[in-house]
Amino acid sequence: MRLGLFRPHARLRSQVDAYLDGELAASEAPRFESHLAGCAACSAAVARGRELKVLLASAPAVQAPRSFRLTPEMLGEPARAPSPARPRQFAVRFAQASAGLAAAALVAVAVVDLTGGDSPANRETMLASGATESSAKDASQLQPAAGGGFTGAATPAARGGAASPPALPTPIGGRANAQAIPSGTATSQPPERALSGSGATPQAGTAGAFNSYAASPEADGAEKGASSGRDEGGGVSGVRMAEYVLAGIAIFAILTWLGLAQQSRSR
Amino acid sequence: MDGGFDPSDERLVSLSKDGNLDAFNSLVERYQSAVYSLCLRLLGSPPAAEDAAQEAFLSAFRAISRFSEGNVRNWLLRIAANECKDELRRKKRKDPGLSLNAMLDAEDGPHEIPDSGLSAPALLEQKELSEHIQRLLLVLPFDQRQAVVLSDLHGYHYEEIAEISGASIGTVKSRIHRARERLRRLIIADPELLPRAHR
Repeated sequence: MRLGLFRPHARLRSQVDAYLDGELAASEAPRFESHLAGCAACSAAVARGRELKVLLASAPAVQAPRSFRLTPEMLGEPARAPSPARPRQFAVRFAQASAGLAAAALVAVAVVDLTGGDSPANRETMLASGATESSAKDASQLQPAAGGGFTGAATPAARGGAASPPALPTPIGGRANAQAIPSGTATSQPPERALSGSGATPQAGTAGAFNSYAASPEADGAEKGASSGRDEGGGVSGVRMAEYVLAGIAIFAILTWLGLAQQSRSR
Repeated sequence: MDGGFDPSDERLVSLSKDGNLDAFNSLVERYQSAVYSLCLRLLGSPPAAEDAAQEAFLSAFRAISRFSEGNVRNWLLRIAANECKDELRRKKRKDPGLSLNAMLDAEDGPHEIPDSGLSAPALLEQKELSEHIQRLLLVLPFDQRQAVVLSDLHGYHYEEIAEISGASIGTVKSRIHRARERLRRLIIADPELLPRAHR
């Protein structure tokens, strides 16, 4: 075979199959073809090789007799029986969903509760109580202090006294615009209640109360805490009751969920 | 993995590396006929080929994290060829005197030929041809058989055969040449090895 390297015929003869397979290098193919033209033995070898190649290629294609898909069992991971676990999974998910819903509802009610002091009714209460006190002195004191943020003045009707609703100053900010005309019922709240939380002095009048109210959220919260937790009769309000109930549901659902999840893990 | 869009091999390999068995099974379905066909031609026995193909896919799934780049089909065929080589070694160790003809006579069953709408006589002729070719192939040493099967039955280029068999292109060229020389000599010496129509 080693001698073949020095004999062109033997070397080219070994390339018959690569030639038939189209795997000869581009530089070798023309040389091989020119050799074929003058070499009967190599031409015969190419012819026989082509016949064999055709024969082998005529072997029918083979299809997989079945699917070779892998299953968890094949991988040594026994499939878990889903039937007994399903009710437990459902209970865990139900507890999870209940806890989530109750917590969301609790947050919503708490937000309503906390922002309740911002509602027109509360402001009416505060405004009316302040106005009652100030109007008893002089309605003209509704003129805002320097930098107080009010541009309007009390209307003549406000000067009529505590019996008639005081005129509203016109605030520059949008928030003060929401503080609408006080209702008659708002005056039932004692003036001290509205003013004590705000820290405003009664002498500052309604405008002073407004300024303090707007600038002091802590005072706002304290005032709301005093006004929204209990109703006028001194009992627990509906909102606070809803908070208690929802908090209870949320805690129960969370505890159930944690317990079931712990049991599932320990299995 | 159902639907009109077929994800690429690369995507399926990537998902398989994350342990997604469905993605790997999509690769299995895509290449199971090629893998089984190679196993059948290398082993000559349908039951042994089924076992080897199944083992090959199992080994491939366990080793998928080590597959970095290249053609996933060639990688699967390489694993399948190695599985067949191991199977033949095991068989030889169990029964050192087992001849190829004995293996064929004992295990050769009907080869699964796809329904191509041929008539019954034509199907019979195809089956006979397939069995004759199988007898011829099993005469060859394993490496030569692998090279010829991949080249002439599967139609792969030398470069792909080199990748599948883990040999150089020069070695592949030499194996194919020697295998065909041997087959030619066998056919000349015993024309009965060929179906009647090809003698």
